[in-house]
Amino acid sequence: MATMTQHKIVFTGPPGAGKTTAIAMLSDIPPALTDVRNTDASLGKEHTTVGLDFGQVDLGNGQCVRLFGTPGQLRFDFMWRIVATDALGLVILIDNTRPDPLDDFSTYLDAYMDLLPTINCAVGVGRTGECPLPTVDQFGGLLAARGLAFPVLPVDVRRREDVLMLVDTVLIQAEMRT
Amino acid sequence: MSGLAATVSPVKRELRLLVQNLTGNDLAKVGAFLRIGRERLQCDWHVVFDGEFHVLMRGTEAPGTTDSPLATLCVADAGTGRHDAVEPLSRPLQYEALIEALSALEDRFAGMSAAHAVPGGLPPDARFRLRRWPPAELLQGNRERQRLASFLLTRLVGLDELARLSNVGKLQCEELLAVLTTTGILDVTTAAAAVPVASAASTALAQPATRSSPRAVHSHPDTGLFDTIRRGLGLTWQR
Amino acid sequence: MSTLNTTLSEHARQAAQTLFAEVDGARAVVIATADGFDIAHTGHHAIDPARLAAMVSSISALGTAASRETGIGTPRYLVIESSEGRLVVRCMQVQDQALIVVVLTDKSVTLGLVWSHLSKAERLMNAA
Repeated sequence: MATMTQHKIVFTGPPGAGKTTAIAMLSDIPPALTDVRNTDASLGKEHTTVGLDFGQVDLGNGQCVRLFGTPGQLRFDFMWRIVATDALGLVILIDNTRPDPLDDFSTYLDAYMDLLPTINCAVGVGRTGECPLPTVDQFGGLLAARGLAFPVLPVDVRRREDVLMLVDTVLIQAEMRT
Repeated sequence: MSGLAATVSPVKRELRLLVQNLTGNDLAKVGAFLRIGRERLQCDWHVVFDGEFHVLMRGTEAPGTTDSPLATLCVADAGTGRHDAVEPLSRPLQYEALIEALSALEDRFAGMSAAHAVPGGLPPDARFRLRRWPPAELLQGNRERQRLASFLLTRLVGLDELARLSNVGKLQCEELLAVLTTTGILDVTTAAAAVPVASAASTALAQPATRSSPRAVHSHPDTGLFDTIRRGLGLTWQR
Repeated sequence: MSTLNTTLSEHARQAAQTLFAEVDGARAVVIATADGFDIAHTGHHAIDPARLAAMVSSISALGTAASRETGIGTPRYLVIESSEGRLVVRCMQVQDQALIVVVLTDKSVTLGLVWSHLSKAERLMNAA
């Protein structure tokens, strides 16, 4: 059986930020989902990811990029680190309509604290049209306060070109490290 | 010669106007209006048909073959309506409309101009690295600028290398670097300098990014793979 | 926070206690919603029931995905056989609510007996 060289990009972020949607935008295959019925009324969603989302982009020549999405809720934080192990890059998606998006962002920065100095990362802030505050610059400022510098872009994960841009900035960082 | 004051005209900045899908009549008018309006315009505008450019001017009847990283002027028949959410210049082209549009762009460029931002321009052997992600106002939602900024995040990179790696024109790279040098978030290192020299403007920004050196903890594949990944994803920026 | 009705929560609590009492070698029992909230737990083994509930929810969901991928239906049991014990996970449907019951046992416990008790627990919760 031919071996396939695999590379992994992980999408993480709070519930409802669009991780599953983002993967679906890029994946060549219908994403494998671990969505179950949600019992938490505060989420405002019928279903929620509890395992991981999985998609794949076939590059040909035995190479592929695997796209993983983590569950968003804090109680699944053990999955965040497991899934991000040996990833080519990490995309943190934020929903700017949530009560405290900067706090959400801090949660993920804390969770990946030891990985962030060396991992290639991009931040996508969604629904800035509905909620312009906090600004994209404030997310950049939060990163800078931690001595980190990653791309922070306003995105609509329903637009493939926006998701591609996030991934491109991750690839660029990876490329610059080689 | 003594007793006569020498009059020296200030050197105007050159801006290149790339034209696409314009009619012969459009082109003739553009050329004529630029000649007539030379004194009104702050910059020296040159019409080009390929190569590097600052502003794209195109007829809307056919899609453009390139996007301007800085500005696009659209030309359409009268009554066509807005194109790409922008009011086009109506045919037949009018002198005042064109000169006003170009003047407005000149005002924008004046805020971003390399000549204004960095006395003497960028050092030829300079290498650059961002200490933090730039403000959205500088990137203006522009994909090329976002990409260029990404290339500047992880290590020092020179202008030529930046243009080569990003596949973005050197002019556009230089424009962005010049703007970034005014913000205080770009480290500029020259061969003569022992340590990175912070850019002139000192704003109250964060400590330099504590990213690791290019030797990443996780070993990753060679650059050929990244073009392969981009192609696989349908990204159009590969070299 | 899960918005499960209190009746079902009470039945789950009783089921957890019954399982713990009846399964020889059981160290702990946790009953969770499919989306990872613990609704009942008991036992003498030191565990974080909230965390375990989330973990078995993930495991169960991955098992469901793998079963779907391979076309073998829906999972009923998942077993994690470890060097010092065993986690037996049962996915069940109780009054239109998907629940996950996990029993932490000694290695010595007969797996078939645990399954039998878990099936009984599901029947009792549905009959209640």
